[in-house]
Amino acid sequence: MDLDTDVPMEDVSEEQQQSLNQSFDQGSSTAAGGANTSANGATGSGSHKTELNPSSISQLDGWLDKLSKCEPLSEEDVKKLCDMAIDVLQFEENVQPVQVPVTICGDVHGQFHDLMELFKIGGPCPDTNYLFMGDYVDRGYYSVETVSYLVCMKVRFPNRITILRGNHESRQITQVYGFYDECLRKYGSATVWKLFTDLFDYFPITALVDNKVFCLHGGLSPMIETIDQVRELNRIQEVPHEGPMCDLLWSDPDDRGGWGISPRGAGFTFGQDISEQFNHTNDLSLIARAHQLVMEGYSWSHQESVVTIFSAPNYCYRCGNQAAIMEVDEQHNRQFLQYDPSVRPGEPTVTRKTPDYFL
Amino acid sequence: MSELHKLLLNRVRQQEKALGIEPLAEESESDTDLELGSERQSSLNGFPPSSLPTKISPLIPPAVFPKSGSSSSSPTSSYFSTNDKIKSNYESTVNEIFPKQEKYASFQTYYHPPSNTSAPIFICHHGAGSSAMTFAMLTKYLQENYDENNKDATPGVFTFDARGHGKSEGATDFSLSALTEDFTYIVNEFVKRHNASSSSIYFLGHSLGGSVLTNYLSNPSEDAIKVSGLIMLDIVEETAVKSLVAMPNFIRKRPKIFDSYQRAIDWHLKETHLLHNEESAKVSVPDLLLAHESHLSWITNLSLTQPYWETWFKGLSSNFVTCGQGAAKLLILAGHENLDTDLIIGQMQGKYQLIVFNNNPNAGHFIHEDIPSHIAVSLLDFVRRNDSPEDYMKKELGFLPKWGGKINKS
Amino acid sequence: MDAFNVNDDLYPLALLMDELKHDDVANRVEAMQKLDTIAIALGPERTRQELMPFLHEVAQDDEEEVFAVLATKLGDFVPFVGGHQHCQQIISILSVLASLEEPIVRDKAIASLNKISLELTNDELNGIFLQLIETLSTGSWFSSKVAACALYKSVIIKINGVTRKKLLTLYLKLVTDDSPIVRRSAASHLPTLIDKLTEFTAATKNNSADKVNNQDWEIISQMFQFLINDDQDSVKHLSVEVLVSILEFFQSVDDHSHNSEFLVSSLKLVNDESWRVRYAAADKFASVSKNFVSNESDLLKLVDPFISLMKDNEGEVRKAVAKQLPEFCKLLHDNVQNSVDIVLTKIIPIVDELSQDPQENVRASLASTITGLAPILQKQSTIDNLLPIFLMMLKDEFPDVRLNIISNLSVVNEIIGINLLSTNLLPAITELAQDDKWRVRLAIIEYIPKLADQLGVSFFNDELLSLCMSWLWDPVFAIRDAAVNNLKELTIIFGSPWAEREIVDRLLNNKFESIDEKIDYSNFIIRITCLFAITKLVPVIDQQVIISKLLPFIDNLVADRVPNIRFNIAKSYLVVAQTFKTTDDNSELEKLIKADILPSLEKLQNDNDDDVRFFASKSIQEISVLF
Repeated sequence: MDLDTDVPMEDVSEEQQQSLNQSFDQGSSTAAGGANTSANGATGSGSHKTELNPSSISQLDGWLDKLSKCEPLSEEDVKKLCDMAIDVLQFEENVQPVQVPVTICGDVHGQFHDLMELFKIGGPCPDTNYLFMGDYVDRGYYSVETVSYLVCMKVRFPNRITILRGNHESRQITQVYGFYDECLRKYGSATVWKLFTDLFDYFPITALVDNKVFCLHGGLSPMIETIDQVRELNRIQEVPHEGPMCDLLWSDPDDRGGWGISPRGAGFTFGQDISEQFNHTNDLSLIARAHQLVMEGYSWSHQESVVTIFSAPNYCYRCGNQAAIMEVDEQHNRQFLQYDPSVRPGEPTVTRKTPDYFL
Repeated sequence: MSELHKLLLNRVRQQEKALGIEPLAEESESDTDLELGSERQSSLNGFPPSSLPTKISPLIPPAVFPKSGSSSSSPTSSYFSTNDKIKSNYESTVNEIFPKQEKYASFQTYYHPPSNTSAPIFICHHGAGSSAMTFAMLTKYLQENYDENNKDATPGVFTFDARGHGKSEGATDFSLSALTEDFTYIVNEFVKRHNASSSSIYFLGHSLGGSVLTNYLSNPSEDAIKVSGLIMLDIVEETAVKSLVAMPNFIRKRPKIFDSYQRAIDWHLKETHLLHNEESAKVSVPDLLLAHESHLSWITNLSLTQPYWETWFKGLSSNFVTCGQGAAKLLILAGHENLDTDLIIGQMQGKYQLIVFNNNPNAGHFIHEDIPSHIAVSLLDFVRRNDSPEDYMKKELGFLPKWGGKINKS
Repeated sequence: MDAFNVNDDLYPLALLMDELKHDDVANRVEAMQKLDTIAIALGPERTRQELMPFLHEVAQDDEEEVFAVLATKLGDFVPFVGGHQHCQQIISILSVLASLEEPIVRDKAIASLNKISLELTNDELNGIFLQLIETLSTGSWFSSKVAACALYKSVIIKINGVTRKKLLTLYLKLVTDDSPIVRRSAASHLPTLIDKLTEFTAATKNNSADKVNNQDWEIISQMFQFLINDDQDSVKHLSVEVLVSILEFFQSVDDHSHNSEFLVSSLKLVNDESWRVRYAAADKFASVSKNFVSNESDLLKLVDPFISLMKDNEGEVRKAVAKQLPEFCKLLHDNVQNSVDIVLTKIIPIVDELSQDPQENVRASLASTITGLAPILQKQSTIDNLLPIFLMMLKDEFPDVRLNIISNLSVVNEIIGINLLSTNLLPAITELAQDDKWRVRLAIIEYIPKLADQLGVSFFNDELLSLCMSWLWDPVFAIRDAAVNNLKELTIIFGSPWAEREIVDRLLNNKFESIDEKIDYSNFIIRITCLFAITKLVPVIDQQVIISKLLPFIDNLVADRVPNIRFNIAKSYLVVAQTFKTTDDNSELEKLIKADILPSLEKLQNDNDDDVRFFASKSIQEISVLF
């Protein structure tokens, strides 16, 4: 280890410390004051934040322009972007209210070109309102560009796009499934990974479309019977290994009734009886979630009380699945749009070093 | 991962620890070992890919390790003095860990019985070229971590030497079907002899062993035993098939004989980095070697298995995802996440649990030997979740379901 | 440097010499660019006496970038040395440069030499230039011979018959040179040489002593025989062009006595084992064939070779011969009895095969020419035999294939009439318009303006308009967007009154044939799509329509409950204002902006949605800049 390379790292560490302190403060204050959290709910979105100034707008438009060509932002710009995003996201609620019409989307997983395809299918933001249900990073080759683009869009048009947290928006998971390595590859350090994973702590964990469609990444939790109980959670933290917040991001619907241990090792499986009871208790028409690869891009469960939406076509560039998005109109009519991978110059082929010994 | 990044990550972890935030990865302690980290450089797989060809001369395959005139600092004689010590230590450890050692026909079996009938039993199958003792240290750590409230309660571990391995007699047919037949016989015999049919049984297979167990569950016979879960250690079909290409060269170049147990252990630990844990290696490596008057040779002739390699992993990933109705599944990988298409789809549909000990410089392909305590924790966690979910929630997580009835087993 | 002072007449030369010693090649190139200025400064005499000797030295010791500039500059140097009588020095320097191995320098030197040759008298040509050609042709190094090949054309028809024969004999040696590079150069310049002779023959009187005679042709024929039998593909394939030139000569003098030999040669080339040779033969097939029109049976003998090229196992060959399809078929049509039968029975089945060729570029090539067969086959055969192929190609997965068919449909329209075309074409378009893959639908929409232009407004109104409107309601945004753009293109083609009647009235629900066609504005996507369409029409439709119909529509949506509509309204107002701005007399319009648009925008500026406020303010600001 050279001294040279050590110097910038000191800077990085200090920055990280600051942002950690900041996020920690935020987390504890939210946790300490349950009143604080519910105050957010009473006033609704938009009241806390200040409107963007013209220079921020032109900066954001410039970034969106660059990102739309799949060119990553500089580390410095990512820092600015994440600071701006915290300003927006910290005032969003655990159950973020969303108006119709809106187009609801599932996992994207760094497949940037397919995200652009999604906007060709559903229409560009901000003309179309979007709700993404998490898993923007990992596995695809363009996690950095994908998450930068969506966060940038969120800051530029906070009322037009909602971005929920998925189980991959986590420090631990991103170290295993590619986002961490991609950040190192593209920026030469983990700073950008740190900035984004710190930002992920602020993402709302669920959304409620017109009080009728409950949207979240994973599924239900045996600890959460009512939507109000979600509002009581302290979400500004790393995704825990267990507990209600973990379940919301990890659970899956199942053909078997009741609760079940999830084969994934986190979250639970929930049967039709559970979904129906939850929808009845909370006066919902539908639970929309992502998290599971479904070959047709969307899949109904539990007699149309739960829908799974998956928006990464040919997942990992090899699974052969279609993708889908769901448009919900002003009359709450639902329309599913399925689509295939975008046409693009060949993706880098997946070549991995093979171990020398394997018996 | 470059050294810079490792160092950076360590600092992040330290800071987070200092701030009371959950550490980044379970393996944070071992990651702080920068000495080892820098040795391993950027290899994310079991061991550095360059170490074999550069360190073992490609021109003259070493007949004995170390080669004569080796610059090794310790004189050869000291090896002989320690040789007997290692051997007796190995023997006493084996006897201590596995109180019941029986021959089932030509097969050597080892059994550590559970403390009571409600404790689970792991039935373990080692990989090619390995032996039952690859699970010795894991067995030890499984005892230590089982139940904090009841130190006397321990799970059972049953394992054996596959044909042509360890102390089981040789055979020339190493096809997957032959190995599966062997296993079927052994497991039935085990359940019969130890009246284990009411116990919660978990299959644990390393590498080829995982494939044999998956094959057993994929084609269940009428009298197949009921299994609560299947765990595979570091095996992915696509990676395995690709890696087989390099194996003949590896087998050809490895030393044919060793002059002492210490040399053999060093070869595994220091030369090839096949293994990373000396405590484990002291039990597992002697079990691989046949003692002659003046030297040690390999028990298993791996070259004989080569004609069967193609059959070993075919369809493994798809079978793993679909096999064993209702059985919980866990895949543990060393190195990095390298799932193939079937495993990705299965994972993304929530069909099994995946644990990756990624970028851990102390864990390679023999991950259960390298970090047995971590693997033991993962296994017991998996077992407790599956065997008694509500108990697990109550005891481990500290809360109970608020609604929706009880939590079913998978 | 000391030898010169600033006032010295030699100063420019000194400066050049100095610059040409610069280490950086870019500086030397730049210095060389100023060569003509220096020559002018020096005057002809000193240029000849001082500059030219210096340049002669430079030409032997610098880098190719500098040489290339020098070679180019010298092409214009004749006036600077005092006219053509003093050109010896220039030619001498250029001959050095032309002999260099570097092709860029050589080509520039040759171009300059050929340029200078135009300024020389016949005597000078026969003297200096002929000497140059002979020296280069007999040079020991390949590069001078390669250069020589390119110079013959400058003199070949400016010399007497005896000298010409001598020159042709010399050229024959180049054609048979040991080095393939030389043979290649000789072969590639031979057609020009022959064409010159053809020109010359047409211009000279029959009784001229210097007329091109049989002995000359004997030599040329030998050259061709050598080339067609060359063992190098790269030389052999050039013989196709030579054959074309030879054939054109004999055609021009109405001599068909050698046709049977030439036909044998043609067939040999078509059947050559090297695909490059077959490719060249395929590429020139019609040019070769048109010289055999005097004899019907000769032309008929070319049909099978043509078919064999269409079935060639090399895609490039099939692609090249597909391009020749209409021209060759027209030759048959104009010169052979029962040609339609031949085309129908022998060629069309292979065309059918080509239309399903595994290589997309072959299919695209065929698609660009196949419609040209319609005039040959005439109405009924086109309907029976060609139309099915067109329709299949219209469904090709490769967009270029579809585009090439659609872009060339007007010729089919002329033959079979719009009604027949429509009854056959429409089902295909309708099918494509409903394809599951949105990119296929998109491709069809993008071709609609082209089709509309070819098919005319009444056909369009009857057959395609409702399809165009239906695309506006496609579930995929990209299709709706293309549909909106399409309406704009159609308005440009068919005019504002048409657009008002057929598009605007439909969009505004003023006109619908059945209740099914009535637009349901309760859906957000439908409202915003209508808004996009209306806004897109603003710049291309009559002002009066904007005021009477489009603007009221926009005004109506100011209070829409969906903010996305409201901020797009803000954007639409800007488009209206921008369009008004381009009108000459816009005082009335300015009033309208003040009375209608700005108040609406101000209302939006106080909207409770951030984005509506943002876009309203932006539009207000931009309008205030405009007016």
